[in-house]
Parts: sequence; C-alpha cells; structure tokens
Amino acid sequence: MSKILIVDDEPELVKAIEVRLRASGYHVEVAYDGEEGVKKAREFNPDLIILDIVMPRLNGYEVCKILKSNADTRNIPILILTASQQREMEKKCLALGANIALMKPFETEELLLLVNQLLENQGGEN
Amino acid sequence: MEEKVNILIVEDTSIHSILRDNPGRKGVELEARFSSYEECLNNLCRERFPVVLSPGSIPQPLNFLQDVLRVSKDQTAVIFIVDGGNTELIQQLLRNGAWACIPRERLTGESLFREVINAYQVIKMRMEGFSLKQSYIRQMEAMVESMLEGVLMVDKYSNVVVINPAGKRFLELLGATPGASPLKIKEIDELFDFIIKGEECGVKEIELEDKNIFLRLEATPVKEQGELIGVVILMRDVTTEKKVDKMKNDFISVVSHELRTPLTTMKEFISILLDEIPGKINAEQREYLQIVKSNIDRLARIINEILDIAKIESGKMRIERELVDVVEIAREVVKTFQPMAEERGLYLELSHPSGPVTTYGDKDRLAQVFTNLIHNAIKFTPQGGVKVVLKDTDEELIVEVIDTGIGISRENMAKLFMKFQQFNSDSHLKEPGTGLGLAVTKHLVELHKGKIWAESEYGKGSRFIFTLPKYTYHQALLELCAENLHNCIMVNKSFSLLYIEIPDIQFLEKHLGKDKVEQLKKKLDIIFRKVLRRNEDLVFKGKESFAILLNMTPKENALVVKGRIVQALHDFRKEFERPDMLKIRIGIAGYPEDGSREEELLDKARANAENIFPEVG
Repeated sequence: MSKILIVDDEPELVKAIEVRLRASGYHVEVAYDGEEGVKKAREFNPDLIILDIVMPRLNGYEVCKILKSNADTRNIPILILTASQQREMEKKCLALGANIALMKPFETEELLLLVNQLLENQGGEN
Repeated sequence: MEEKVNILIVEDTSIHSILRDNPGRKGVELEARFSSYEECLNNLCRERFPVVLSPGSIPQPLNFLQDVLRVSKDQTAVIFIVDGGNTELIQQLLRNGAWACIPRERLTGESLFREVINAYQVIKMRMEGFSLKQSYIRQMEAMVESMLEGVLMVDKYSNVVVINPAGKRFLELLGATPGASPLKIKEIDELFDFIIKGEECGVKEIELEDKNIFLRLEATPVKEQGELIGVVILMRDVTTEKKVDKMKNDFISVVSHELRTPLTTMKEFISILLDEIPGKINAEQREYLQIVKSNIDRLARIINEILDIAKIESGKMRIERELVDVVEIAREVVKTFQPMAEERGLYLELSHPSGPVTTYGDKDRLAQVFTNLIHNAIKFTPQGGVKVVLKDTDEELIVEVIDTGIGISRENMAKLFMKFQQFNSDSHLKEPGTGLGLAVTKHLVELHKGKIWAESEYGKGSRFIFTLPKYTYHQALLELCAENLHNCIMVNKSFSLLYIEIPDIQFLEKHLGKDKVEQLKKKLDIIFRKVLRRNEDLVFKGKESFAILLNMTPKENALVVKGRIVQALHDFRKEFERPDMLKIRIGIAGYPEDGSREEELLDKARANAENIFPEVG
C-alpha cells in the first residue's frame, strides 16, 4: 500500500484529502506545517508528498529545498498545492524538482489521477 | 430709437433718388453718402459702411468688388445695379461675392430698400458673431490658464504652441528646461510620434519615484478641417487615484486568495459525500448536494475572474509566453467540454489544419480563452451545437466558435466585451455567468496581440472570432530577445545570450525514441533552471535548441554561467544512457561587445557555438 504524506496548514482541507485518499486505498500521514512536514517525510519515508505552498514555519518552497537536497528524501515525488496564483513560487518549486502543481480549488478526479500517475512513475523508476 | 444705416453710393446719384421712394420701415433710417469710384476705397478705410451701392457700369466692377470686400474684411455687402441683358457680368459678380445684382429695368425704391435692409441685417449678425468669437477666445484662454491639469499643445514640428501654468509645473517635474521648445522629453516625444503616426489617442503613466508622484499624460490630435495641425497633451497628477487603486487591487487579491481555501475544503467534502465514502445517500440528498457542488464551482469561477480583472486593471496581468501549438490547446479544451455538450444533447465539433499551428503565447491563458468561449457557446445554445474552427492563413491564425444558440441582440452587441455585462436575464437559461468572462477573454487575446469580435443574428446563433499572430521558434526568440535587450539598453545595462543546441536531434530520436528525447529536453531545462539563480534569467526552449537570456549581465559574468552549465552538463552526461550519442554545442554573445541588435547577437552566439564534449564524434 502506497504511503502519502499531506503537508498543509488547513486541518479541515487536510482531513478532506485524507478521507478521499484513504477511501482510494492509500496509507495517509499528515503534517500541519513545513517543519512537521520535513520531520514526517524523514520518519515515514512516504511514496508521495502533497505539499501546500503558503504555510507557517517553513513554506512549501523551503520544504522542497530541504527534501530535494537530502539524499534520503530526494527521490520522493512532490505534488504542489497552491491556493494563490503564485506562479513564481510554483515555478521555483518545480525547478527544484517538485513534479507537478495543482491549483486550489481542484477537481477530485484530477488530484486522484495525478497521485496515481506520480506513484506509478515512481514504481517504474525504482 | 432709430437705427441709422450708413450706405455708400458710388458714382450714380440717380440710385439715391430711386431709393428715396421707399415705404420706409419703423426704427430704421438710411443715411446715404456719395463717393466717386476712385475715392470709394479711401472712404471705406476711413468709415464703416455695411452696404455699398454701385452701378455695374463702372470701369472694372469685378476688381472693385474684390477690393471692397478685402478692405472691409467681408463686412460690407455690395449691391450692383446692372443692365439686365448683361448676364455674364451678373454671374461673375455674384460668384465673386456680390450681395445682389438688381437689373436697372426692375429697380424700384421698394425693392432696393428691401435689399439694403436685408443686407444690413445679415452683415450686422456677421459682425456680432465675430465679436462673440473674440470673447469666446478670451474665455477659452482664461479657462486653460486656470486649469489644474497641465495643458500643452505642440504643432506638428513639435514646437510648443500653448502651455498653461500647470503644464509648465508638470514639465519641470519631468525634467524640462523652462521655456525650451521643442521640449526633448522622452515620454512626450513618444506620445507625439504615436499621434503623428495617425493614432487617435495616446496615454502614458509616469512614476516619478524620487518624488513619489504618478503623472498621467493623455495625447490627442488637434485637427483643423480634418488636417492634423498639432498634438494636445493633458497632464494630470494621479497619485491619489493610483494609491486607491492599489489598495483596491490588494484587497481583492487578498480576499480572493483567502476565499479559495475554504472553497476547496467544502468542495472536497461534498464530493466525498457524493461518492458515498462515509455511507449511502438517497436520490434527494444527492440532488441537493449536486446543487451545492455546482454553486461552489460557480463561486470558484467568479473568484478567478475577479482576480483576473483586478490583475488586468492594475497592469499586473503577465502572460508567460512560449512557443505553443494552438491546435493542441483547442483539442484539449474541446475534449473537456465533450461530456457537458453530450449531456445537453448538443454537438461539439472541432476542425483544424492537419499540422500544428504555433504562436508565441501563454498556454494556460490561451486555454482559458477557448474555455470561456466554448463554455459560453454551450450555455447559450438550447439545441443544435457548437463548432470550433481553426483556420491557418499566411499571416495569422483565425479561430471561430460558432453556435446555433439564442444569439445576441443588437443593443447588447456593443456592450459584449465590457465587464459586468450579462445578457441572459431575458432568457430561460439557469446558468448566469459573472459578466466578467468576456472582458477577461478580450484582454487575454489582446495581450497575445490578437483581435476578438463577435457576429450574431438574434435567435439564430452567434459566432465569436479571434485571431492570433503566427510565430516560428526563430521569430519568437527574436521577439523575446528584443524585449529583454531593449529593457537592458534603456537602463544602460549589459545583456548576454547563451545559445545551446543539440545537433542531430533526429539521429537521437531515431535511436532512442521521441519520448526519450522529450525527457532529455525536460531534464536539460531543469538543469539550466537550477544553474540560473535569478528570476530575471530566462530559458527559452525550442525544438533542438535552448536560448538562455541573461538580463543585466555583462559578458564576463555570462562566461561564468556558461562554465557552470558546461560543468552541470558533464555531470548529467555521466548518467545519460548513451553518453556517446549526446552532442551539445554552446555559443555566447553579449551586448554591447557583440552588437546592439537581437539578430546580431543571436547570429554571433550561433556562429561561435562549440561542442562541449569534444571526445564525442
């Protein structure tokens, strides 16, 4: 069962995504700020991270930077969630190696499709 | 009171005796003076005579007439008494401004008197008009002088013709030497050129950062009888407006951002309920939840459109241009609307040229244009369907979205692309929009240097048409270089360009497959972006090459960047599955060393491109 880590400072949105992903058969861990996100990424070694950009204590970009510069976490695919039309920030994350960005509010189907794709690609490369 | 009318009678005293036999008129008294033909002009110079009576038999009646009119500045009516048979003379005199020619045979005191009074009244009105005009001019001058806005008029040679005190103040703020003419102020010269080239209106906003002032200049042509005689420029201090505007836009964008997250949460939970993850729901519950869901979608759309409008109005709407295939974009958007059309029993068709049609544009924004137009077309089409047609002409790409819907009435047509306009109030459609979609669409098309318009027959359907300029990779790259180079030159900074090419890309495609080559290009793109650390550096991806634009970067620094890229590529090559096949060439050029035109720089960078893996092939 694939492990997914959700990092977002909106607990209710995290809950919604968690319920959805659980129902689709994934194992889900959650973190509510950037620092916790980095910590859990190291502890649980997830197969995919869903990462918000605007967060307290390390924003999404900083989290990306830390994870991508560490050999243990470098290869975990990252799906960026962005509430703002901050294309600059989004682009910076993608340049760091985040895989794809999804804008809020998103379509559930799209989220599931992307999650599925990213996990499959990951399986193929390893 | 009696009004005295001075008339001058030339040569022929018999005219006076005839004139004396008149019925008269209350309040008017004629006072006749006599003059010889030779003395007449002198008399006219000394005294004003609104009416001159002369026989047509004087030596040179036509010259005489012209002299009188000239001396009196057209403020005298000349009446000739002529021999009736001489029609040629009569016509000549009338054509040259004679008030009337009365045949001597028909001359009566009454008819002559009537003619004199008529002429006098018209001349009097003409004179009053003249003095009216003069006081009007004085009022206009006073008005211009006391305006808070700066008014500046320059003639077509750029000389200052009119300037008011406020205008002088603004010009000094802009750095003009007082009293100088022509002005030699960049912004004003640009506006001037713009209008001289035939534009109807030019606007420029200037921020004087050191003084914290915003000026708005508006230029319009000054025409006299259809001919351009100069340019008038109105200057206004818009600092306060700018501040308020900025507050409004900041407010809108903060509010909209904040609204997005709760919407996402709501939407997610609704769809969790609809998908029956926590448990079964009945048909009625499902219907209500569907309504909630579609309203959340609507809210999300409105927020996006408001954000877009706010961006457009604050001038912050930027399109991120790359070389894109419009056919591909159209195909994707049409695909997403296929289910919606089917659900409503409508057809949705796309026809396009067989090959790709590339433009230099923002993929997401162009998709938004297609989305808005197709969504609208479906919404307003109760039966029949929607056709999207892409046409590739030599100069441009034309896109038409044609529906068989309710159409647009003539009065609504004019307001179509204005914001907050909705025309479905009279229809039975249950899906109102925000009234912002088309306004946003128009701006997006125009940002892409295209045009958009609509044709419609009320009740029969509409046709929305927009155009996009076509670009090749080379044209797009040149344009991008030109923009960046220009910006650097304007602030006196250098500009550098790296040109990176993968020669024999067909060879690679043949041996590794197209997918692998696409992946390779993506990886190279990421490598370049990693090496570049600044936001103002740009990577432009082509079919078999990349251009890296280094703004404000002297060539010696660009050489360092080049070194880092070469190093990163060497590292990359070690991991590449077929290092022996990978060839990459890099060239460099910089402004000002290698030229000041984009073509020169690009040619130069191409020409000196060298293989960075010399051990290969």
